Amino acid sequence: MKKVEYTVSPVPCSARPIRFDTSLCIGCGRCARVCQCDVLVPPAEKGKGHPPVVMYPGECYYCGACVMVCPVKGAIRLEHPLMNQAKFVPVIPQK
Amino acid sequence: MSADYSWPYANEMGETEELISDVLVLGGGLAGCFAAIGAARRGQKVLLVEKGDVERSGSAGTGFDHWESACTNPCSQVTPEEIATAYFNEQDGYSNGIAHYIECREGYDRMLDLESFGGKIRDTEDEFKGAPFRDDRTKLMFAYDYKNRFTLRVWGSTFKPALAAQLKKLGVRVLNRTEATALLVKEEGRDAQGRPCLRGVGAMGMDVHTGKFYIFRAKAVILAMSRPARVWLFNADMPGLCEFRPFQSIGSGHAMGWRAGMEFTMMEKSVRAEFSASGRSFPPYGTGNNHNTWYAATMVDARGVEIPYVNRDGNILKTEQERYYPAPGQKFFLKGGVIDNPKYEYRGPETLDFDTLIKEGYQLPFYADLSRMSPWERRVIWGMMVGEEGKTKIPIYQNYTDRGFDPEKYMLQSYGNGWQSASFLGQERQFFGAPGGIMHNWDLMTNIAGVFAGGDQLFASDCAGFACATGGYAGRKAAQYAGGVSIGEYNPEDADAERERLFAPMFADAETSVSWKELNMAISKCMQNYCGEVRCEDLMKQGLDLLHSYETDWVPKLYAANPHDLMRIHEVMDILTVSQMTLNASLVRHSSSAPLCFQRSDYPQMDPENDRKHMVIRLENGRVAERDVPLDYAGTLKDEYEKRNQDYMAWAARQYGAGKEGE
Repeated sequence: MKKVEYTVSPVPCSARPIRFDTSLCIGCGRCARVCQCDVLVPPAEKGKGHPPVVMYPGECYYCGACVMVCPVKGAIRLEHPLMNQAKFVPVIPQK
Repeated sequence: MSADYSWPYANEMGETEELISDVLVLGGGLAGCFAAIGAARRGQKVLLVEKGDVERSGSAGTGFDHWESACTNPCSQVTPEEIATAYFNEQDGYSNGIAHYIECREGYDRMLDLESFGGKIRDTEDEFKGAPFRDDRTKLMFAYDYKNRFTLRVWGSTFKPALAAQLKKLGVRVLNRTEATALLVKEEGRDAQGRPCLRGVGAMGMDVHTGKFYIFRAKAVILAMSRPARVWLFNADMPGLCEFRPFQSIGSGHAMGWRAGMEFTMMEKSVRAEFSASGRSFPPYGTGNNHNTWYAATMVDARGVEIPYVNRDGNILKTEQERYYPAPGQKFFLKGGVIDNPKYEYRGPETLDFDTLIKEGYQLPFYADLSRMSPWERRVIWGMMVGEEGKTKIPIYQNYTDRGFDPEKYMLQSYGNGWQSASFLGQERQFFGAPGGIMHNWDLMTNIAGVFAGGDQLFASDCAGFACATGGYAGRKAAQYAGGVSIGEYNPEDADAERERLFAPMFADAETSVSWKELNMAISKCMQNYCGEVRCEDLMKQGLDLLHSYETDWVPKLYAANPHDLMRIHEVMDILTVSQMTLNASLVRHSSSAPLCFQRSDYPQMDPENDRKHMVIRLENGRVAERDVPLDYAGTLKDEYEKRNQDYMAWAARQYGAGKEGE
């Protein structure tokens, strides 16, 4: 079988499920390793401050594994799209 | 943009590796992990193939909060026979007696396994000491029916990492980031009815990062690849939000089984979409409701008027604790993932139904108001259940807390007309509520000798406990089988054909191509139009014609630029196969059925006695063949189980005796 060169570019999506704080990311790549949907791809430049590329944001199923495995609190933020922000209101005192 | 990125993994396209094991497990969720452990414990050389990474993959990758039907736990007041039979009767016999009995009988053993691997199943920190749902001697915690105590609240977020570590410890070889795409099967003569006798000799697959092609040869194979999804529902922008289960769990195990001649039953069953579908719902467990993880939350209407709970006789329950106890004269009640609107015999406490509430003047929107509950119940729902259930620790518990949600001060809004958090049309369907799947015998072996199945691939599956118990059982039986056979030969032409099928999209013309998303959208629309809520012969045949045209005209135009795209394409090709199987299953049943949620306009008669049976289908020489199997083919559950599992029973008594006593 002939070998074909692989190419890749980030796929656009209306939502941004995953955001990194590059000042906190240590570049360990554990988030990309555990993501079962393969949303994250290792960056070209390795090391501190170089989080994975969110290559396939639309394929995120919002399980939270990336945040759970991250050794640095706050380095990854996973958030549902705006339409999924459920409403809560102060309780109404019981009569 | 593309110039800034290059493919970060090796390019192994065109390379093939052959791996040999005794037992091959396809899928590394709960069922697959326990299958591998079950086989490895019996000295077999085991290979496990997982598309994600076993540490957090599968439906319970990030957790699950309650384990159903653990009837042998030391606090249980019910027997495995009672609960397995109840599930069977609740579904009018369209249930899986064998698998549910295994769940009821061995589920607690698997829970003790998890504890020994490092998972948390008890309130060891005494966080809930004195709570009415806790047994202070064993520190086990219960959900739903506090009298009978057969559903346990567990810390499921600890389970997958513990299982991954145990696989390593037992020497199971794990291939992460590898999709299984096809079974290797050979024909060994014909049976008395002239049907081909098939034997599984392995499987094939591809590394989804490098494109390396794999041939897996094994004495026994276990399918543990979840159930189909994205058949009726798809959203191209946010495909990850289409369905409840993981985005990449779309029924490849079903598709490869079907192509290989495997038998399936109940594939005509589907339900109107419930939740987590196409982004229309809110995040699961993230809105006000009183089901499942949130049972039995206090609900109020827009004015703050509390919505009453009633027992099965319609009597209003005055106290919070009564929501967790059977009605007078009732031994136990059923609640859980597949229990929707149970029969009187098994019906538990519930809030008044939605239509009654609207008629009686309750005002929308409704809310879950945990502030009105006792601190025990409030803390166990918000903080343990919401937190340990899959997909709740970060996107719900942590994020809502960050946004300021405090269950003592705020109430959470409900949407839709119940716990689904959205309303759906009849043609928007899902394989949910104990759907169809693989037909099997008491060894969880399929009609293909040496190929076993566990978890959601079995028909009428339900929860995590089901996955763990049936996975472990399949692993044990596969090990036994593997001990008596040698590695079978495969046909190299099958491997060549599969390699060609898998990599064809790398050679398609990008300019005239179609994307996997466009094909998935087309399939979903086809299924909504031709295999929706009400079906008939002509309609479904048109659906099959349309799917056939997709197969011949559009599949060859699918284009991939890398192995990740290839994986997504393979998935949609499998969704196409599953859709065809679903239409064929629906064509075979010439009546309508309430328990199967199945309506035919050309055969409107509901559940005629003659049709109360499994209509089992398979592909044979390119045609659909059918055979009937009685609904009660499992026989007397306890007797049949004990006939076949004396060795396990003796081993389990030694292994778990102390644990069952709660020592």
